[in-house]
Amino acid sequence: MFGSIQEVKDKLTAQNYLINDNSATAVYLAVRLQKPLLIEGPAGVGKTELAKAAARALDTELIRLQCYEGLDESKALFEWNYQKQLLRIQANHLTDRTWEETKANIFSAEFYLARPLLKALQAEKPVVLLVDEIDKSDEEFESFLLEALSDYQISIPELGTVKATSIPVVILTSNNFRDFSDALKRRCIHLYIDYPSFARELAIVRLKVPGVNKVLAEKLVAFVQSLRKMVLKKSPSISETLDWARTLVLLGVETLDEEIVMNTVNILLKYQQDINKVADRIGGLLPE
Amino acid sequence: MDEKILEFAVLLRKAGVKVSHSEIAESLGALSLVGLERENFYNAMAATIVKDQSDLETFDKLFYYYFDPEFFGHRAEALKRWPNLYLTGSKDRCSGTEQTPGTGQGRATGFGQGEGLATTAADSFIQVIKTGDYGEMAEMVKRGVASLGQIGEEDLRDMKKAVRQVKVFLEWNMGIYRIEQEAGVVDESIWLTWQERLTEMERLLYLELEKTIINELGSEALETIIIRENLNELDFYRLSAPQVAEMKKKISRLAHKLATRLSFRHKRAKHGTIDLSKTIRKSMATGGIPIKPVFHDRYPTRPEIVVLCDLSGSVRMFSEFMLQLVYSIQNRFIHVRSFVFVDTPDEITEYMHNREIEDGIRDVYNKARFSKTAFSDYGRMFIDFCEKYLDALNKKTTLLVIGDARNNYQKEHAEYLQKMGREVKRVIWLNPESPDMWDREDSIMSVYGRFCHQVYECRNLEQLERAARQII
Repeated sequence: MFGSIQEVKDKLTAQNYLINDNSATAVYLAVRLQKPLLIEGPAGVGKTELAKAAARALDTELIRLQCYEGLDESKALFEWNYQKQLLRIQANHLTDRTWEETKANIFSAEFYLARPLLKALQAEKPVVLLVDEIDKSDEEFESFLLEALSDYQISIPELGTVKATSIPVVILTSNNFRDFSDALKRRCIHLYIDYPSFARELAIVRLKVPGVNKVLAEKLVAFVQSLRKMVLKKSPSISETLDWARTLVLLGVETLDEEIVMNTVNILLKYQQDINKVADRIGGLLPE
Repeated sequence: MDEKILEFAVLLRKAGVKVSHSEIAESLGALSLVGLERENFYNAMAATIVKDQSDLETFDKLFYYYFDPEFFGHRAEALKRWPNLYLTGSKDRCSGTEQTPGTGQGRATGFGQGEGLATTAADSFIQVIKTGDYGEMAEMVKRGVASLGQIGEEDLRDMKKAVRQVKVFLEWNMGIYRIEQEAGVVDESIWLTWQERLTEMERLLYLELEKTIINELGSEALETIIIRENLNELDFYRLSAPQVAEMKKKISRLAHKLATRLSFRHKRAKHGTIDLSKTIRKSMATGGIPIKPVFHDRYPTRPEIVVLCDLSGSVRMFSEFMLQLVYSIQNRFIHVRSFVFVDTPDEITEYMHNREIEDGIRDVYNKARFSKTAFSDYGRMFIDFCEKYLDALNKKTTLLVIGDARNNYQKEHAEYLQKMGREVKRVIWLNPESPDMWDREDSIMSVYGRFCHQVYECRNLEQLERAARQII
């Protein structure tokens, strides 16, 4: 567990994740107050990465639940292993066990498959549970999650209430695809990760792409930062900056010029409209 | 301390931020963990209380005013008890040190001394924007606010006026005008930085002015100001410049919400009319006996919309918001056609289609011909519309009229609205004035209202959201 905000910072930095004060405080509070941490922000600023780094920093397992439309309890919580149950019934059929015995048998722990949520609650030592892109799930699933998040327990009709053996660190991420209910928000510590400042982004690039030289790194980060000030359909985020930096290193580029940028700008910008807009002004956007 | 935080939460609620008891309790728990050092204090409060990114601005502002030693100045012992809450200056959001080429030569004689002789106020304004020194920006704003002299209640009542006065003193608009002239010459990246600084400067000005007012007039003023922060319930025409920007963000969120909510709601409901062919096909499995009926999938109906926006003075702001809303959820409609008018309608669909909303609106002002006399004339407009564009309407369309129905005592010609109404499915009128202003002076809302299916009062975001739900 984290003892102080500084410790959060140090340990995450050791895991190659640079974190600012604001985020570190939120992570620290979430861990210490045992509240879920709801992380919002544009795509690609490192929300999921933060959860992964936190798991490594806490030296524990990361259990990931990827949300999508139509995700339901059986996929998230647990499922009866139907095939195995059938096998058991058939096997019992050959012996002379009674139906009562069989019935008692097939609804036991042996016959269910724990899904991420249950796994996280039943883990021996506290794990990090990452509920990724929770905004993609349905509203019904969200209210189902509430029970798990508020008391760290879940009711399963056949088994009764399952209490967490150890309280997991829960991290929810969202791209703001839809709004959450107030009930969910109330239970969470909230963190908004925005695009990083020049200095921080530079540090991240230098850390993650060791091959890039200092001058090039500064220029490419300055260029990306200027892009973000423009009104674009989709601004480039850190993951795109890193991809771009890697590409430039791969191409053996020493310094930025208009031609190279135009040839590789599709890594940063994902809409043709944006590319056109930038192409018109490329000369002015490039740092000297 | 607990008391202070509770009071703070009450103020936040007044500003329209939802704060529950459990969140307050949590923030107190968090504070006991991280201590009272200002930075940590702020981070902890923000993480536990603000759950919606769009509320953060309000939170920041209130935090800045409320946990300011000057505000508690008359309660000196409060300060003694919480010495850690010292003010370290607001967060430096500008990358301040960056040097811009072309400055530092000639007139860079330093700021603040030469006002009057060597450099005019506009010069120093441009200078500050170009160098972007945060301290100098704050200094300049402070001087501007100080120029107002004694702050009185009328400044609180009409802050826009006070802001105008400060801007005149600083030759603000003159500065902006000259900076914009340079826009074509300098590099794009520099221009973007300047723009950012201009916005920051505007924000600082409001911050400084409000803070001065609060310190002068006490906590009632704080309350008044903070209530104005509640964008959901604030009248559209009262918005300050930074609030307009914030409002635009809110509207695009609202658009997003409307668009996604719809799909959630319509997906589930699967009953109603029976799909006969599928039912029979399915009944084959049970020997031709239809045991389970199959229902038609329900597809959300996508209405056609014709928007008719008044672009004259007072309603303009609201019309722009409405256009933004309609066009952000364009894909929810089969077809949107939009017209603007002051005294004659002109179609602007082409300008808005698949464009940035800002570009579209700029084109509307530059190119569309919607005003002959610059005075609203609804009657004239309805006649012209019937002449030129009546074929835009059909039985599937919803006609959305946005305006205050202030006709400058011209002829009403309501029969033309009636005629239009007969062509369409629904006529909805959104009026950005409060109902007790209707039918006063030159407003003839009820004359036109008779031929509308619905008339909504639509003064603020909350009402806009309600109306939008009705329309879709």
